Amino acid sequence: MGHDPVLLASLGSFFQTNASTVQTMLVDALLAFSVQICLRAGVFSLGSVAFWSLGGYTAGIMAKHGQPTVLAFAVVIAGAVVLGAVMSVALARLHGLYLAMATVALDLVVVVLITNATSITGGAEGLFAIPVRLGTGWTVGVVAVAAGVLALTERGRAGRVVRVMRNDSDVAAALGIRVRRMERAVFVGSAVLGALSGACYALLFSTIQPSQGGFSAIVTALTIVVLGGMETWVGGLVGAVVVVGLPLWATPISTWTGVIYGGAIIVVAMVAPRGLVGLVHDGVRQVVTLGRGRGRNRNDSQDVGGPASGDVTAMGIPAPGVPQGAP
Amino acid sequence: MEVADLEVRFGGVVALAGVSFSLISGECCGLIGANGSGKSTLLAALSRLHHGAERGDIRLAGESCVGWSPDRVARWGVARTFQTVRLVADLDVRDNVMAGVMPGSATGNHADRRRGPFAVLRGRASDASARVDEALQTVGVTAQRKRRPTELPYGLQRRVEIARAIVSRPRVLLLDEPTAGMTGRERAELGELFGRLAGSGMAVLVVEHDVRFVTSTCDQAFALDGGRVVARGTPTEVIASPEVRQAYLGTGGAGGAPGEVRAPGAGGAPGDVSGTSSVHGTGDAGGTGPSRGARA
Repeated sequence: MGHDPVLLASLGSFFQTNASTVQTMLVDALLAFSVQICLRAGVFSLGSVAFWSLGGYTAGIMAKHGQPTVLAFAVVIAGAVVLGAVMSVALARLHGLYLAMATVALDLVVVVLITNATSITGGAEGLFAIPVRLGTGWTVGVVAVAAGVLALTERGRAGRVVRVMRNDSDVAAALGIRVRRMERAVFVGSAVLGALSGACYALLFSTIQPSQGGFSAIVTALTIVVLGGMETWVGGLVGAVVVVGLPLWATPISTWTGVIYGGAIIVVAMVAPRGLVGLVHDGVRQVVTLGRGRGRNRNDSQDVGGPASGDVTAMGIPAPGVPQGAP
Repeated sequence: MEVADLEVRFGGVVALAGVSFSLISGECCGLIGANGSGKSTLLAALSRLHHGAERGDIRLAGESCVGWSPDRVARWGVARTFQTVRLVADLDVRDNVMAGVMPGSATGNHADRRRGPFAVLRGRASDASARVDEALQTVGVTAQRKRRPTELPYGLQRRVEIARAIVSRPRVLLLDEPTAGMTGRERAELGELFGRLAGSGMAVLVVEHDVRFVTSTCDQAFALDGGRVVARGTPTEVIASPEVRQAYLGTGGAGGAPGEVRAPGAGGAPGDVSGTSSVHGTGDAGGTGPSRGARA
């Protein structure tokens, strides 16, 4: 493919006018990845937002004190690993709805702590004038690395283990899978992704408030995951683009945003429980199957010289009643 | 595997009371009992997947596994199937079986370790893949390997579950009503398969309602009633014992209804229940327990 200068220029101007939108999408995609890997493995944790706040504040405070960005990221990641591991042990006995409730409580506790630690965090008004350390390019890099790691966990042995765990943890254990250990690993991975998302946010937008890690953030993250689909990282990315982008590009209807989202979630949950990505995936699969069926039918009709028939069963096998061998 | 004086309680309910038995490599052991007699509880206890209070001991090659996690027991080499098929719906048949390949031991549990420390690295993927194909072939679902489990008839789903259990070449294989819902011919095939598995050195425990199946397949058997072992010995002895006739067949059960109902086409006469006639409908005698044990 050649480089079209007009296209490149228009892409460039698009990014310039929409830089903050694109950055928000990337940050939210990271947060969605963090929620996704838990849900995908059957760990109903919503603790990602707590780690988002902690990561954001840690990076923001360090940047304000003149610490290098690399060090800030290293501290954020190491802190998330340690805290995530501790929390995963503390929450080990909880599953399903109880784990969800406990992790939502964790999110809210973190908000309260940050709000009240005024001398360090700036209290309810938040942290301002954080030096901007990241650009869109770096954030794309972080998202790409995260997506790459996620892609690895979606394939091969890891992908199968995760699916078996989500499906039936007793069966997973009976197959020798160390379920507890895997759950802890998933929780730590989720903590790291959440904290990275927060850190990117703070270093992109130079400000962060405690309220941003509240309940509405949990709802946004879940919306992204449900709309996009939780089975692959692509779902997180697509969901973030839709959820972040839509209200900005459809300002005339912005007063109805909440209603539209609510409606969209209900429709997606009913019609496409695997999200937009799942919907497209199934659609493509169906078209391919149909195409194969048609192709086969055409060959048949050429072989036997009979009329082609569009009747194809779900498996691409010509339905009974197709004339075979008729002159 | 040895079980000594195992007791399991759920609240005030005693599900198992003082159960003792042992499973021996190369032997197929049958477990019969009415619904609620503790068969599934026993399998759950053996695979460490239960949540009741417990007393007694379970030993694997002499080592107590009572404090072990279910995944550790599985990695030691205890594989099982479930009473209701529990396959992953969004993985195809082959991937379902692939999920049974033990993590960190691509060559299986009690693998052939003579091949040296790097054998795992050398032949990891291809070895696992080959063994999955072998397991699919063994149970006879190779043709369906790309299908989703939900697209298959129940009998084939059960076979897939058996393939998943044997793909890591377990030392102990626990089968919870593996032939439920199958035709007489399929039962005969599976009976023959279990015999072969035991012959390859596994200790096999089959929970089964079908008396005819137990007599034709198993070397040993025991019967549970109300959480207690009420009879043990060769399948013929167990089925002939008055406790079993009373507890399992119930009043008037001597009519041989179970064998007849569950193995249609086998031409079950009432006398079959006592195990005097163990010939399958297919004409494959399959051997009585002792003779096949000798072959193994």
